[in-house]
Amino acid sequence: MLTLALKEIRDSLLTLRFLAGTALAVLLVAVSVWALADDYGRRVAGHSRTLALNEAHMAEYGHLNRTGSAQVVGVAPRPMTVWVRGLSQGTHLEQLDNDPLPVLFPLVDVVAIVTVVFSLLALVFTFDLVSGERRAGTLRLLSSFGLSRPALIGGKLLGAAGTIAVPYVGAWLTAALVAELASPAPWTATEWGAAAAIGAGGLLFVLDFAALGLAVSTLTYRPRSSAFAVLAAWVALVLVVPNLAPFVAAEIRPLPSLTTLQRQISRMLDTERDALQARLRDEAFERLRAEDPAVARYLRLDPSERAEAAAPDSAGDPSLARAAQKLSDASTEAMREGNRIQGEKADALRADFDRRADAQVHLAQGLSLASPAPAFTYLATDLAETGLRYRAHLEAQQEEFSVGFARWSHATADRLRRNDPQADVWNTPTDLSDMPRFTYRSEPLAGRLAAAAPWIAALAVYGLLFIAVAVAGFARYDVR
Amino acid sequence: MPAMPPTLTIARKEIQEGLLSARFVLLLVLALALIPASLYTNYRAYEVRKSDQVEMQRRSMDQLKGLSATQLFTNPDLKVDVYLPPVPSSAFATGFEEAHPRHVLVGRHGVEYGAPLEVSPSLGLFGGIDYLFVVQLLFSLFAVLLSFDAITREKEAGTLRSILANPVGRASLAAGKFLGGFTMVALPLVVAFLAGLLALAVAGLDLSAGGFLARSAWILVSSLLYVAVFFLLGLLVSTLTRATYAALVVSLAVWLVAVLVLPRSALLIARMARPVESRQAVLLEKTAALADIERAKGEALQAVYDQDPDTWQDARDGVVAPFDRRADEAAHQLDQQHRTRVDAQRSLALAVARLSPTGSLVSFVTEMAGTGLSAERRFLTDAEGYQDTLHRELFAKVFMDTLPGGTIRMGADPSLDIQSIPEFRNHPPGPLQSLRIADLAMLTAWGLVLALGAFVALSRYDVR
Amino acid sequence: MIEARDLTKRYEDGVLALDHLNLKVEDGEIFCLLGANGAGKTTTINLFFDFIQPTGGRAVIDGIDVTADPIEAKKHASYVSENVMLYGNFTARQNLDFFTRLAGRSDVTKDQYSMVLRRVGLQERAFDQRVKSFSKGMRQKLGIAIAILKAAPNVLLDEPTSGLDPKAAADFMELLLELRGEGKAILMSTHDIFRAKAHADRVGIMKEGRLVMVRTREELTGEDLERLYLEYMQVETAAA
Repeated sequence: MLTLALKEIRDSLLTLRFLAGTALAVLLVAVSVWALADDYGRRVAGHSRTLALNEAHMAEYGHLNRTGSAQVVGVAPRPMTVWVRGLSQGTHLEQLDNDPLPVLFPLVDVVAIVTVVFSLLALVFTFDLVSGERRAGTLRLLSSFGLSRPALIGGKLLGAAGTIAVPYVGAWLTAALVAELASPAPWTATEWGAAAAIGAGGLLFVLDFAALGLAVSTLTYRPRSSAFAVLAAWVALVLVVPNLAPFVAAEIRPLPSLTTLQRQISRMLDTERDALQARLRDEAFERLRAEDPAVARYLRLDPSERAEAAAPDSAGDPSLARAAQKLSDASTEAMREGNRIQGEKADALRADFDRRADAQVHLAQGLSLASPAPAFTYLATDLAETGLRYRAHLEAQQEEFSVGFARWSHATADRLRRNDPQADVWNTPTDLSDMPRFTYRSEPLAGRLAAAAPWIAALAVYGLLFIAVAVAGFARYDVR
Repeated sequence: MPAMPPTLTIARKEIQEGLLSARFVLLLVLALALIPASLYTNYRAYEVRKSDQVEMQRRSMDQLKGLSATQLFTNPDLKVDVYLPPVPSSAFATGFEEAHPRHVLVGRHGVEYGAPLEVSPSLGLFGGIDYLFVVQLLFSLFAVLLSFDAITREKEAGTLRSILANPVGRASLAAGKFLGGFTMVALPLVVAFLAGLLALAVAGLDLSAGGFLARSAWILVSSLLYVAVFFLLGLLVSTLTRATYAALVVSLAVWLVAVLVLPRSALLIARMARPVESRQAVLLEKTAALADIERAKGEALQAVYDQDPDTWQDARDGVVAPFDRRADEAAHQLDQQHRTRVDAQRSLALAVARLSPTGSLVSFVTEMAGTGLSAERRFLTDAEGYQDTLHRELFAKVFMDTLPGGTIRMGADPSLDIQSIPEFRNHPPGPLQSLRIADLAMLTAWGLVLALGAFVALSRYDVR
Repeated sequence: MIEARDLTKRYEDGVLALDHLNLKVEDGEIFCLLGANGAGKTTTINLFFDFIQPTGGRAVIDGIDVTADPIEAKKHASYVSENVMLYGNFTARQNLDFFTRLAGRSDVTKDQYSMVLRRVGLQERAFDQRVKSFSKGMRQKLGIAIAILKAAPNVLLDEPTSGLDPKAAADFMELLLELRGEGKAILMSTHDIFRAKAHADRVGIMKEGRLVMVRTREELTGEDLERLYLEYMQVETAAA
């Protein structure tokens, strides 16, 4: 079987498809990584500049009311976007840039090259390994040599694996080399670890397609049918399924629009809350009126007389002043209670929305696993910290930061007010040098590898499935 | 009865053969499955976006009109939200619809982009499927797949000689192959397109309204041209190679570069050649510049106040006017500079992308669907026009001056009537204005070049 | 009339496939071209249909120079190749219809098609069967049917009986004799010396691109055909 495998590899190495394919792949990868590194460098420089501008701005004109932009500015471009663009493709995670072109013409990164080019390459290398030999007549010859069918197909599989592994490893090395040379800052050990894991995942992905090509070859009898079947499979697995899945998920588990949600929430926190507060206050007042005659008396006064009666040092009935105080307390309590109730409702609504959004994302991911291609994309984006996991972490950290920032804001405001009770602390320039700055805490490699494990498993399952089909297909293949 | 010309005979044979082939059936099935479904779904998404936009616009205006005079001038950073109305033809090409900028803030000193709308969470990593996606990727691939062995398969089968033993010129052969073969690709497209229009009608769209049919017609025309270009590409490759196998590899490689690589590299190339700073940076620069001017204005006012505390209000307008003008000019200039640089980058990106027929198609269809770059540009221009209106009716009539030392003086012109402030009106380009002849010309040029190449190669083709 | 005048073909790689070939096939005559593989028989026929162009001399059909006016020339000649190449997914009738229309005739009725198919000996039930299931003999018959319907005055055949069983080959030659009876000029390249001796009016032997011998049937009867064949085919045995 090994002899067969080696012969397969030797046969393939000099063919047009191998040489052309390898050259194309390596060239594409080199150009892509170089261009993305250049782009990354520019984005990092832009980010530093923006940060510096922001600092200068805060130093000169800063007052507590103008610190809103501090939180968004702090997100630095992810270093591994040189290989994996992921979600930073043009949406708003890193910049407020609203650049529309990446939406029309998405950028090519290494993941895209592997998913699209290498899968096609693997299929082109293997689609006629069986049907082509049958046509040439050498399959009969091979079968007459006493190798069992599984061994024969095993030899071809190994050969195919070897053939596609060569350009793939070459491309990976090129990508690593160019990233190292062209990036503004060298990668850390974590990043190299992630890069190696992405490489391994990608190899598995590519081998899956080699197995698929071979499987198709064992199910068809002419190279032309194999070619066509393989291309149909490629279109379905690489182009259609990944893009169709979110679509279908959105139909099965629809979300209300964000606008509707915001509208509901703002109504809850605004008009509904005011109405609730008014009701609670009225109820409280009724209760107090029934309990305390002084309150009843107070309430019967004209509004113009109330102010005087409520003053602590008034000449009138002290019980009226106390009643006024009770009513005031009750009012404050009602407001707080109203805020709390409505706040909880809004939170619940938000939580429900988030839960449903999560469900939709999970459904989309699940559906997309009908093809191995998205599994590799998820794997790569999670390892490179440019994917859905990253977004979740980022949002969590930003929320945490918001809370801490709000606390700092209020503490600073209190401090300023203590120094100068009359000043408008929110609108006067202050020293903001101790303002907390947001930096994203990167996830350590172990966590990322653990997250990538299910995707690796998925890719392995696909590989085993395709191999099984190839073996079974060849077992009943008519070699004449 | 006159004999059927050889071109038509060959075309007829191609069609008969094609109807029996698996490739054709698969294309038809895929097209009928994907195009109407995506049109329907994208249209429903449009309806949601439309009702959102109407509501948010209304709320924005209500909010504005509900402000009291005091609130008006205590908020120097007052901005009015203006939303870009979505268009029904976005069902064809979601283009920018899902992303940005759909929302701008019109303020005293200019127009800023608002926060982008959030995309459906799972669409983040992969795009959605729309009509443009199906034609751009699937139809081009199938066009190549149906034509790459047009000549080589007949040569390998020997039927090429059988044909050419008859009084048939090579030009007739090429023409017949093209006519017949292209029909097999065009047919699924047209059928699926019509099914799609039906699906839209079922979804509730009034097809006869707003130039929708005109836009659809142009979109279909450009799609057919695009598919013809790729069919001719496959045909050319078939006339340049001797074995079906080599033709397949070459065709796929060319398809990959033309459809997936070239358009997507365009942006990278443009960014490298013509870098542009982020809007965030421009915003900060603007704020800094305006704050400087504000401070100078305050000092000047303080000077006037110190001179004569009683009559300074009369002199106020004269003192303030030049500073306000400077502020407007500064803001305007920064915006213009940025806009010019962005435009330069984009036009380079588009120019490079359009080197590939795919780039031309994307450009043409998104423009015709009203979701392209010029829609965004038009929206901003309209927003700027609205900013002029608001400036005249609102901002110029309200002032809040900060004097050094923190004193604040504020007031409003008595002629200010917030209830009569007009609403935002946008004027999207109509179908004829959205027509990008240059893109159609590019596609036609490609088609002619490839056809010519195929014709020349076929006349020198070794038919043995 | 089929005529080669000093017909020469040298390929781009320098190989001289045809060296000043001169031959003439009259109307109502069967001319068999014998020769080893690579002697130039197929090249000759390819030149008459403008599949390749001569580097010297002319190929002439009914007075029309094939290279100068290929379209007109092709109206005057029918081609039957060694393996009749047809569209496998089409039926016999559909193939016949396609090639007949291509030949320039669109007035043939369904009955006329059936008649021709019957004449060449194709079984009735095969008329509407897909050609990919046909045996070699059936394909050859369909090839002749196509030539018959084209009704061109000249017929050129490239090794038409190779691979046919004796009965099928005999049937085929019968048809050719009928065509000769209709006054057509027939040029046929073949390996089959015995059938050539039996039916050809004249026989020519090609060796290394040249016509080394031409004999009429009468002249042949007095000679040992087999000896002649081996003598002039020595290239083949030496090279084999």
